[in-house]
Amino acid sequence: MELTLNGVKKSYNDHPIIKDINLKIKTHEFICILGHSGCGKSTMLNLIAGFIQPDEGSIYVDGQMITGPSKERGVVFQEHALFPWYSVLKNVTFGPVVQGVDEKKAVEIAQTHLRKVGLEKYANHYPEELSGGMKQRVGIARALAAEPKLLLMDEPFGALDVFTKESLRKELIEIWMELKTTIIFITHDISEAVYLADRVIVMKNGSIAKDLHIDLPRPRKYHQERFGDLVFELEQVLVN
Amino acid sequence: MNVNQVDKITEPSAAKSNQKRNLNSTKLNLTIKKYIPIISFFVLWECLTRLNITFELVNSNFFPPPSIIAVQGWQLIQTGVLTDSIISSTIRVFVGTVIGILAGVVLALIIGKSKLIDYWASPILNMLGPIPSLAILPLFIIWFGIGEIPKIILIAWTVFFPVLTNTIEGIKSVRPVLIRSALSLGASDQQIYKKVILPSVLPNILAGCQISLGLAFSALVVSEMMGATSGLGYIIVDARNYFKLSNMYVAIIVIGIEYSLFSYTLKLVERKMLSWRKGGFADAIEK
Repeated sequence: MELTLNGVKKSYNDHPIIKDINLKIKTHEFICILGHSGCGKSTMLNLIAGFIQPDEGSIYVDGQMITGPSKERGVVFQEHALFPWYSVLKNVTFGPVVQGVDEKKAVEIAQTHLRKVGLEKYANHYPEELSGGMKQRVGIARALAAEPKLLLMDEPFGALDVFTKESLRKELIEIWMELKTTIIFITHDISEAVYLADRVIVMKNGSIAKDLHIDLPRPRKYHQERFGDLVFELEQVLVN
Repeated sequence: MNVNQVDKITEPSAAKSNQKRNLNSTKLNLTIKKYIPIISFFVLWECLTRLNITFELVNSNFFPPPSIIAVQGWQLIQTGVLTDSIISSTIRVFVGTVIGILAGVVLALIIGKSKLIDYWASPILNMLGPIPSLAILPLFIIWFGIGEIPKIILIAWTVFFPVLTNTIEGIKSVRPVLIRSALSLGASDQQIYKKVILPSVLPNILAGCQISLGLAFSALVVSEMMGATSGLGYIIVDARNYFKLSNMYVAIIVIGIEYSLFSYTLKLVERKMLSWRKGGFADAIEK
């Protein structure tokens, strides 16, 4: 899966949100898009997801231009977007079922992914009955069950407490190492970006301010010296 | 991966089952308690009207006691008039309501889907909606005669508008993020309608049905008062013409009971279909 953004621009009411973005993302890469709120990072995710269309330029997936949302590009939203009228299991089978996989196989797929996020016991609960962290886990399982080539994550851990965030980061890395899906992860948290990504793309005022490869071996530790250096480097880019 | 150390389910199941047992033992008491006001109402009515018959304070024909009404009701059942009327009224109100709901929901979905149809249909519907349906009944009778058709159309018409406006309102408030999720999971437009929009809108549709039900019953009774040969509304008019006031009371009470049954059934359906919903005071605070 290769993603290419070619001269992408997007503005709202003559106010440019994204100015001329050129970017190439290779297959299996874990990308973090880092920036403060209003820098255009969510707009970029919505463009890649196909929810909105660029004013100028185009986005290609494996040479194919994006014209709308697709099952190839799964999305995990900031506020969990689970279907409240479906049980956890039915939420996760949603993808396979609408794609025409038969019910029994879909349940198998869903159970595999629920096991990955440690929620197989909660299959019959409704989303309302789960905590914030669990809902987000279901959101991840649901996106993965549709077998996307690219997983887009829009500040998925933003609303969670520090401890839940921490364990979800670890789990996400484990899942990514296993499935090797390409991931684009939006965040405003510098150390989260350094912990997760192969490559951090810093956005400022609608442009790419920095494209930094993170060369730390995994599993990464927050207290490593190199970790601190990278955080500092990114901080400088964001502050100046 | 261990989830339990991080998150715990909010409601301990043991406490819940305990609560259930307590509920069962008090359930019977509650059922009896629920009917005390209604039973008292009839007992008081009986006493007052019996006193009235003894002392002739006001014309006792105008205020028959419930016992006489019951006897009268039994006689009407035996002649077959009441049973026939209940059956024909029920069919009318049921068929009319179902047609009205279906038309309202389908049109709301179409309006929600197509901007063009919204542009053309909405102003016209907004113009027609506020007209009291009963004002149109004489027209319907002239157009369609005095058979079943004008009555059913009138009821459907009455039900149609509240269901339509509620459903449109619901469609407008479907969370966009849910539609986005469904699209990214590979759902087609049709699947989104069936699996996202319809369940989202269901609470609004059912609220529309609750509002409509009362209106449907008024439409039923009025349409039966004008040009009908059967039905509960017809019994009322007939009783007026022949001054059989206890028959009138029988019909009024039966209408009340029938409405309550319909409303109760709708509530059961609502509870069943919206079991996933949490909210309100009951879930906000434990007492």
